[in-house]
Amino acid sequence: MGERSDEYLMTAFAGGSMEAFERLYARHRGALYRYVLRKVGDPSTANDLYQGAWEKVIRARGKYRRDAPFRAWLYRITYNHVMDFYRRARPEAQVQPDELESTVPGPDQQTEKEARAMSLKNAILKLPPEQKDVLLLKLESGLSIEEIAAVSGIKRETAKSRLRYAVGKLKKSLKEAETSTDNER
Amino acid sequence: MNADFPDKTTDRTLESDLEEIRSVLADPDSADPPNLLDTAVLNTARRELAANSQAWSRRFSLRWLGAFATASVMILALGLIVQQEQESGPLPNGGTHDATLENDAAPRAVEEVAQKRSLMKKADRDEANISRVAPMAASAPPSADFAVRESADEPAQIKEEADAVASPEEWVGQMLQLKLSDQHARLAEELAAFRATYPDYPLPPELSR
Repeated sequence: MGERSDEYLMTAFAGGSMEAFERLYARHRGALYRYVLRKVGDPSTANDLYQGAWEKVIRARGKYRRDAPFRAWLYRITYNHVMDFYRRARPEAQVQPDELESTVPGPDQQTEKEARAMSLKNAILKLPPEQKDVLLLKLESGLSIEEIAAVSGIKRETAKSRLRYAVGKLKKSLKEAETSTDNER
Repeated sequence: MNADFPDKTTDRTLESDLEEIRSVLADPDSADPPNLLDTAVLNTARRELAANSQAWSRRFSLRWLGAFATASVMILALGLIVQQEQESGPLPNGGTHDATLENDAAPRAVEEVAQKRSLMKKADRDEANISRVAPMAASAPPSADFAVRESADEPAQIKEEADAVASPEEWVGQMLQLKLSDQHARLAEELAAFRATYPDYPLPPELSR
């Protein structure tokens, strides 16, 4: 099948080619999984949502139009699926960022790099949901600002502004993490 | 990536910040979904495709069955129409027929039937005549014009040959020729045969004398 475009592979899958789907899945599995995982924080919930999102993609294959960018379509389905989950979920079922933070090992148990990564992940989890959405879509999917705006159902400028705020907060948290590590030394 | 932020230099800074965040977040343990999750997703896709192909083949077979049934009914109907046409001649209200042809068809059919009936009657009459004439014809030398074969076991042939027997007018004409050529003996035979066949036919004075 060679290096076919996502759009070609999705159309082939809609036409009954399992091989096309396997290639498509191999291309997007890692990024999509990381997007979901970082969005919800909890690996178990992320697994369910990730699988559910792919199931939606599989079942919606007949509605896919080849002229639509596949990646944006995939992330839009996933984004909506995660949003539906949060709308349906009872408050007690939702994962609280603080709970996740409590499971993080202490600084003495991790290397400097791991500490930075953990600090960043915690900072991401603390971001307001709308900023987190835009940031994760940008980090994991590699979508353009226009595509992120389309996936999230917002204007381009709004998406860009949210991304700036999110990145600013993460940079600040990284600096704080570095400072606290230096102080401990 | 910079294409997303082409308007400001701060956008380049933002893009480099994103790269830094990406590199910090790069965590090999959480980079990929678990293998079981991969298998579950791929199995879902396989199941969906298999179900789809089964549904398609079921739909196709039902469609094929429907088409076959329709074709069968149409062929049966056409066969019945053709058979009916053959049995009863042209359709009384065949839409494709020309109006004049349609108008002519009925009288022509009646005419044909009448003609057939008259021919049959004539054939029967001639058959009876032949049976009466036959003994005489056997005693007399068969003339070329009135040759009648004695093959009573072949009624169809007799009927055919009886059709060849001259009409009374022609017969009278031939007898007049016999008289003119002074073949009186043959004329007498012919006259006797004629009278036996057509007892009431008025003969011209030249022959009745």
